[in-house]
Amino acid sequence: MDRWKVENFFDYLAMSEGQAQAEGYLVESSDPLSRESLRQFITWPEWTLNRPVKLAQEGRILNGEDSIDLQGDCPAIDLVKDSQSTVPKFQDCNLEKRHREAFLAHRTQIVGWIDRLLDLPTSMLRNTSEEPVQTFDEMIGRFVKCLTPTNQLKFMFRIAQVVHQSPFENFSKFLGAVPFRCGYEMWRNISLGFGGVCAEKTAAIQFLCDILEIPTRSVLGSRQPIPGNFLEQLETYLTSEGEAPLPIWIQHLLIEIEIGGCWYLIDVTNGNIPLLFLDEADADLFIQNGYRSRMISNVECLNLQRMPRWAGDALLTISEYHVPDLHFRYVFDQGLGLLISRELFVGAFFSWGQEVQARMENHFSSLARSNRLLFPRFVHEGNLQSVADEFLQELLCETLRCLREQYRSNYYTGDFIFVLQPLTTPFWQHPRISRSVSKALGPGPFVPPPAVAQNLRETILRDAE
Amino acid sequence: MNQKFKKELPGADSFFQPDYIPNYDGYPWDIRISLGEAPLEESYYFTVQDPEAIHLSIREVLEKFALNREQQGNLDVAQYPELPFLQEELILYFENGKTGQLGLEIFVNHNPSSNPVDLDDPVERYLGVCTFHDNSFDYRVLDLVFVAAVPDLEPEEAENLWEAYGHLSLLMLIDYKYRQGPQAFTTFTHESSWAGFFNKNTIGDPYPHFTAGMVRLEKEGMIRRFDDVRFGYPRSDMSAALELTPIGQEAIREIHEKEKLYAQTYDPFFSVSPSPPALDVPDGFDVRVQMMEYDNLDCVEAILLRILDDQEDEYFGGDQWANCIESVPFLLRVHEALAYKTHFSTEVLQSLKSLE
Repeated sequence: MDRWKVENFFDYLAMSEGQAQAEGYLVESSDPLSRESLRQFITWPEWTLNRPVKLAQEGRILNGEDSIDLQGDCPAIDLVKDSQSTVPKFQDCNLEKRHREAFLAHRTQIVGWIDRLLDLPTSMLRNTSEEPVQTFDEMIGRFVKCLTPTNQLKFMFRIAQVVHQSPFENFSKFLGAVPFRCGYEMWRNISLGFGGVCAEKTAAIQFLCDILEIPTRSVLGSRQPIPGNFLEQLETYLTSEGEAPLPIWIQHLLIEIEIGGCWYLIDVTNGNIPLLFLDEADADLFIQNGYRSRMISNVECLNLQRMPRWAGDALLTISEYHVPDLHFRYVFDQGLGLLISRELFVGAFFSWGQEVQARMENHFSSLARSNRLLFPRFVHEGNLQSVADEFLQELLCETLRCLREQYRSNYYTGDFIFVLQPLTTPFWQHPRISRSVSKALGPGPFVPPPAVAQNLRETILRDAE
Repeated sequence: MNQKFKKELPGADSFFQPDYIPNYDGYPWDIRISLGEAPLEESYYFTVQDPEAIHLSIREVLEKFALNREQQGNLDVAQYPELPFLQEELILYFENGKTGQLGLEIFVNHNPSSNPVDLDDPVERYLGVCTFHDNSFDYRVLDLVFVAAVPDLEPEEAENLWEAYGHLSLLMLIDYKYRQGPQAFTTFTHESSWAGFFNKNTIGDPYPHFTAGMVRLEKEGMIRRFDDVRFGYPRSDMSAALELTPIGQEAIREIHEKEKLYAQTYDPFFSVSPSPPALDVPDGFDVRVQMMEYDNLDCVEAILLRILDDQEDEYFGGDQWANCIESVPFLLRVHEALAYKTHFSTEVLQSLKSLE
């Protein structure tokens, strides 16, 4: 039991966890969804835009007949890119198949998370036989047969509400050491009271659409004008295996879905961007002209561009598998911080000395003053106890620990400082729903299901226990 | 009067009722609506093609143009596709404001008055001009700001503050009036606002705060009424109806000492730079309140004394002092000062302190 033959290990990994248990394997993963990511990476590397990998231990490549040493303090196993293999083609990237595989492997759990969030019995949604819809599971493989086009729209609107209502946050990336969550991971994260950034939330919608076989299109957004050759740039990056510069002008990701022959543009970002659910006519206007939005203080015009499915799949796949420090980029480089809610922005910065700290305090305080906001508070290890809200204090404390652990640089001698910036200026907040959609939905208000309203406090406390 | 809103549009200059506004007669004009302190760049706007509509009331132009769903076809969706959605949101605020479901106040940006605008006033009285630096746009604008009114200071909180610090404002009022000279002080003590105090009849007293506060000062031996002077019958040779006792005089002396100390100690921190640390910089941060807190001072008392000292003419002068005591606008100022205090780190405060 202290050695595992490599080819047997690959056989094990090619199975879903349920299958493996049925086959008699005794191995239990600590996190089934992380195992799923690894399984897809190793079993279908081309779907994840990777070359096949080999295992290595103590610098020695292990071939199929070799064995992995599992004794006591055995050395870690490295995954090594098979440089002999061909460069993966971006056309092979297949999110839809990955989503289906993941759903097949974890159906019970995923349905449980989605059901908990949607609370379908309270939605009064009826199927084509006029019976109340009780569970998401009923619609798998028969979404179009199960619901009329109007009810399909109502269902997807509820989905959009649920995802939009989940917080725009990056805390959970550090707490779970996951730089970017894919669609199925997002449903678990949302069910736990967390959320994510725009691309992750779009991934959640994409996952659900793939499971329900709803056609989708990806839409990218940027504060900069979108280059005419954006697909070419993307292709160059994808075929360079990370050598070409990241197309960093891509700052936003949305999705269009097709229901009953009509396309709808959805933006579920939140973080003070109102829910967007537009019919094609309104969506065309938004895509032609962009739209203004403000998450914290700056008003920015987001330019939009429709793109083929492969491009959206590739962007989500790159984010998931190819940018290991993406959570640091979101928080520090893009300035999205750890949380953007209607009341509060929680940012963070690196501080490697008193002078830097004073400069950053000056910067954030100046921003507050120029935007007529209350002045921010700066929280570090030494004054964490002064955060009156116990839950927030606990969350910051745990995040600080994770930040330190995940930012492993021998050259860095400073620490992280949190910025708590109250957002006191009002935001436009009503959902932007096309008239045709409102009409189809019937009389409002469109109250999101109660499970979404659960706060992070419960989650953190439960996890802590 | 303090301007309530003076929001600027980047790349443009805004002027409220400039002399040259008649030059724009005969041209279309804009209604712009923003929310509270939210930036103008994200505001809603509607271009009114009819130049004569400036003679209508604000309510009329809102209902006829800017907040009229039937006018959605005239919105500039080619430039800003979100405008119809902003209009829907504003209509909701406006309608709920009308029914009282929402306390909605509407201000005019750059209006010198700090009061909400009367919607029945004609538009022309509140028009401004917005001129872009690159001359791409130059137009008249009714620059409205919608504010969902929420009380800045909860009544209970105001009451608690009054209970704890009201006596300070009353002592400073008496001192202020006393410094105006004997005749002015005598007249002050015979003003009708004292009726509740002197007649001991608090039913229907329009100044219950003031009366209760003075009763308390009397009980604490700080003021003394003259029983032989009949209140409310002013004659040319009349005497003041009350005086400050030695205890009261001592309390006022202490107040002045504290004021002086606070001014000396904390005024240097009125406009500072945290990085590099420097005092008395132009357009710096006001860290006085945070510094007071750092020194474990009773911040409310310190701020209140500074505010009352700085603006004693506004609060205690003229004939509105009793209304002022009743509505306690100075407590609101204290509340704002506390809410808008800076939160620099101890290290920054220490480095600033070392510069003194």
